[in-house]
Amino acid sequence: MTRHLGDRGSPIATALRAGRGSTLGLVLVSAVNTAVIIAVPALLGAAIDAALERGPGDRLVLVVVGLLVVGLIAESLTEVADFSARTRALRHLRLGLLGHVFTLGFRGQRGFTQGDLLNRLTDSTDQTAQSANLVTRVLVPLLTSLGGIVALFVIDFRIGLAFLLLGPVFVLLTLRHIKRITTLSAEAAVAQADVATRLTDAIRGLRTIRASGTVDQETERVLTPARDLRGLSLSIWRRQRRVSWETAILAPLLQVSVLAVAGWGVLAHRIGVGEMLAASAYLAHAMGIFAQAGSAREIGQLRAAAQRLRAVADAPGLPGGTRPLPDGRGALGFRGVGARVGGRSILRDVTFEIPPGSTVAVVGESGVGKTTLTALAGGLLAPDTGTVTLDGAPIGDLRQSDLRRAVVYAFERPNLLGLTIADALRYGDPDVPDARLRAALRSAGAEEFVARLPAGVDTPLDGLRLSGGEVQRLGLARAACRSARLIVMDDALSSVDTATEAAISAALHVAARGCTRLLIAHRVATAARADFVVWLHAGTVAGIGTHRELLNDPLYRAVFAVREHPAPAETGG
Amino acid sequence: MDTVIALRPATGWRLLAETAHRHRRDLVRLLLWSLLEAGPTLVSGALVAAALDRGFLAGDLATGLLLLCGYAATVVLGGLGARQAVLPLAGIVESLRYDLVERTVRATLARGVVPGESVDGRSVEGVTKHTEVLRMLLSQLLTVLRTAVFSLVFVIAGLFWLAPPVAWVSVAATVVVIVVLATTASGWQSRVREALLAEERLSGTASATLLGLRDVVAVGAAERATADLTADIDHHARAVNRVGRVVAGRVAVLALGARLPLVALLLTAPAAVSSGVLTPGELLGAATYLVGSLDPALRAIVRVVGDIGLQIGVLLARIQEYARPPAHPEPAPTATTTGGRLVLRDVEFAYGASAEKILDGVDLAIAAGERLVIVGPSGAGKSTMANLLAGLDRPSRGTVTLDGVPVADLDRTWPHRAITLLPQEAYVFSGSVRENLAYLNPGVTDAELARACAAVGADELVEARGGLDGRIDAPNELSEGQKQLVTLVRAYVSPSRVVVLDEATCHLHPERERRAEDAFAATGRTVVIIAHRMSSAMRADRVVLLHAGSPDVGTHQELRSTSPLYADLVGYWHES
Repeated sequence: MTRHLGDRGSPIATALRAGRGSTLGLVLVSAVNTAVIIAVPALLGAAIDAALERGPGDRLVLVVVGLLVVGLIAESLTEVADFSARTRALRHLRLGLLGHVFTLGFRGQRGFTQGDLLNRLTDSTDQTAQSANLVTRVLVPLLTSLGGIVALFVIDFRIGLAFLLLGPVFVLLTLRHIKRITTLSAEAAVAQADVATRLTDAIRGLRTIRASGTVDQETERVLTPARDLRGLSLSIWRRQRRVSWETAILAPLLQVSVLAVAGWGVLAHRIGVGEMLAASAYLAHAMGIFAQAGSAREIGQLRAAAQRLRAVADAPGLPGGTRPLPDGRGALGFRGVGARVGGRSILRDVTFEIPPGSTVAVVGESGVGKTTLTALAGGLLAPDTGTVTLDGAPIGDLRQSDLRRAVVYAFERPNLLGLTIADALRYGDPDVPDARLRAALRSAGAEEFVARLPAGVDTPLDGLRLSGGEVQRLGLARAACRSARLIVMDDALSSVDTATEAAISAALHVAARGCTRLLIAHRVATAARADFVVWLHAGTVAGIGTHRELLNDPLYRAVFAVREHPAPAETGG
Repeated sequence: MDTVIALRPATGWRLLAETAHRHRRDLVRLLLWSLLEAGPTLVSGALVAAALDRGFLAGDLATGLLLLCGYAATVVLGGLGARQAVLPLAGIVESLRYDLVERTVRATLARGVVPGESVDGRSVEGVTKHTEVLRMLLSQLLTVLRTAVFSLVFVIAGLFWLAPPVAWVSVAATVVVIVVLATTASGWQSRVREALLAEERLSGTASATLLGLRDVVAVGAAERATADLTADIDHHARAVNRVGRVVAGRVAVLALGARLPLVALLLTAPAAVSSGVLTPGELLGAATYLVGSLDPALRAIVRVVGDIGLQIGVLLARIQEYARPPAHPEPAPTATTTGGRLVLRDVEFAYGASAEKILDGVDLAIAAGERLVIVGPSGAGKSTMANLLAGLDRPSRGTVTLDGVPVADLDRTWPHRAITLLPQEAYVFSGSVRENLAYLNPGVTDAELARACAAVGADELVEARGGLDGRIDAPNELSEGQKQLVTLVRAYVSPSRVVVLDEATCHLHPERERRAEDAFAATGRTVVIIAHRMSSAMRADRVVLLHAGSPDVGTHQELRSTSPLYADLVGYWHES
């Protein structure tokens, strides 16, 4: 599978490239803008001096006015280029990330939580897309400041020296200021986190709070650290007050010193009045150098965001082959299959053959690898050793599009995507005919409650409240309405009672004419109805046969007795 | 919901106005000190002009330096103003933050205890992240605005002193900038809001798709999902670009306005100086005003009022959504009873009219002192049953009564608390061990607590935490099982005659679970246990098996032989 994000270097480079003309334009107009900012004070000064010496009509004034107009246009165009470069990069990064996310199999999906992926898709791409903008935002002020310092020396080296002597005092005071505030801020952050924790705890405990009528007491508990936070924040402000005074007067005092040196220069005829103005303007540019400390942090954030995108790009995608699916009716084969998830060996040496059209139950204690086995069966997880075949062809060699049509899944907790019920069932397979859709709803036992909904199958999903059992049955119908060769049911009927489960199974047997069914069974009755049982124990197949045959093994019986004698999970002390 | 927030940010400003009103004295102090802080701007150009004309250009170094020292003195005074302005500002900003946190917390918890209202983790984000950002933005707004506005006024005043024609141009340019930006503000803001909405729509679609990532891949719908998301991504990109174009226009107007007075000065200066209207010093002074103060002040005001103001509006509206009190607050129920006989008569329950009935026609009488266990497959309505028994939900038909009083009308607070419900998710909070154990009975004695701990098997835990005065600093220090032991002691010392345990022992070892259940039964109270393990049912006086349709009721032995589902749940081969 192609690696959309990582194939051509870092996400930052991708972002810069994706902006294409806009990135280039941004660099260009920024360069013009910088040049204008640096040139204007000198020319302004020269124009004033020329006017004072030679009187009206000097061309320099017109040059300055022209430059100001050019700067104005460049400044405005910078915005257009910035927005355009950013949205292009954003679109490219987001689509690239999505393209890869959809190839993530079982293994890749486990590596990221949904919230984490969402954050990467929305925030990290946004931050990375600012690359071009950040480059100009850091470079333009930096060049401007350096230009300002150089200009001070050019006008009169004494002015430059005055800046270099007094500047460090400014830096030291600012640093001291930052250091003092940091410790107090850390305390405030703790208090703030405490508010968040207490509120989160209380929200989790809402049922207890509601049942105990203790909502007022709990509100007080959450607000206590919020009051501490107010106190701490006020002491931070008090600190700031002491320092703000120092910084507030230092910058103007620096300016006064530079003006004094410049005035002395005017008196000694070293410089003109206009140059004194230029010195004053360049000083403002030069002081900008002290504000540059923040850009290191911004660059750090940009790189961190890019790394977060990189991590998704590096997550293993599903293997995709080119081989078309051979004819067949869904014969499933495992040969010496082993799988590791998160560095831990889950399954090893799993071998079995399932004839087409049969129903196979996977049985085993919780955590033994039943879900991993079903993921392997449909190619959502590539085996580390051995091969999984569908109708004789190794699954890894098959075209992804063919494979996804041939194997469908129904889950214990399906996520229904799409606009309406009908859209959700046809999601990814828009050609399912109406008759088939209705038949699938009927055999999944969902026809009745769907008919009760305001607009039947056309009821929008947004705002619809469905019980776990209802969602489960719709998930089953979504699988049943497609013409697949293999239906994998991962605990897909856990929320319905045994009688209903039996009825649905029987209906599916008819509806899914002849297709192979692989299901995870927790209930004895489910295992008993299957044609075969694949019994997993200690990471591998412990037995294959009918339920009745396997029942002779006490270890097999123990799988179903787990409710009666649970494994010690918690000692409580 | 989000649509409403993003489209009507103005509503949030009311929160701000209320706090500002309470702090009006701080506001006045802030204004006065800001006036002093901006003072150096007023004299900067004039003193520089004088220093040049009377000092440096007149060949008098001492006068020049003295006048600059005069400027330095005003700078020191300005610094004093800056210093004194900090505390009133802090008072306003910090109070606002606290007010918002308080409102949000109160409203969130108040909504959380009303059925039908939803509360989620976003409130926590509203309380912490949004209020923090808001506080920073507001202090920026006040800091920049107060100094920039005074600077602007002072610059123009100074210009009138030095070069009135340039001052007039400055006034005109400022007015034009403000008028143009103000009239285009609503168009710009609505585009920003459209972009925000587009972003929210994208993040909603992305969230749903990523939540269903497993399903998207498993049903082969990557193409469809990508198409849906691409549409949202493009929509968002277009909205952002539209903002960009407006911003570019506004930046051009601003830059033009800020530079026009300088251009006017430059074009008129040669003639003005040669004709003696303007001295060289005054020319420099005027230029100093324009380059050093007018341009930055105008930019700051536009940035602050535009960008920061808009951001504050959006955040305020969002916080207001979290700080929304419940639509239909429930009056606290007040009925009391000391009995223990629970009766359900023809109880039906469904979440809404068209939803599937979770319970339908349940009739059940639970005798005082009975140990009743409720079992059933997941989704059969066990927790609904617990909520109905504890009076947290009212049945959509039929009645649930304790000694004839509808349970939903019973006072839930101490000391009348008639029914105690322990949910599966144990609520333990940071505080002392005693506070946690006495949560449901503040009047309990240490001796009673010690007896309760021994009875339910929490004595080792309490000892390990340093006795009743020990601290629980973070609830996560305790394992799930330990938390459940804490809540069990709590329920044990509660004054209630009825205790409902909704899988409240699921994280305990089966042996400890038995000990706790037996301890409750031995008190003679009515104990209803929603069972996590079938072993609980074997110890019950009676068992209720919930499933679709009306439930089966009987002893463990009876149900095992009459109900195939029950046999299935227990594992039927045990008897064969």
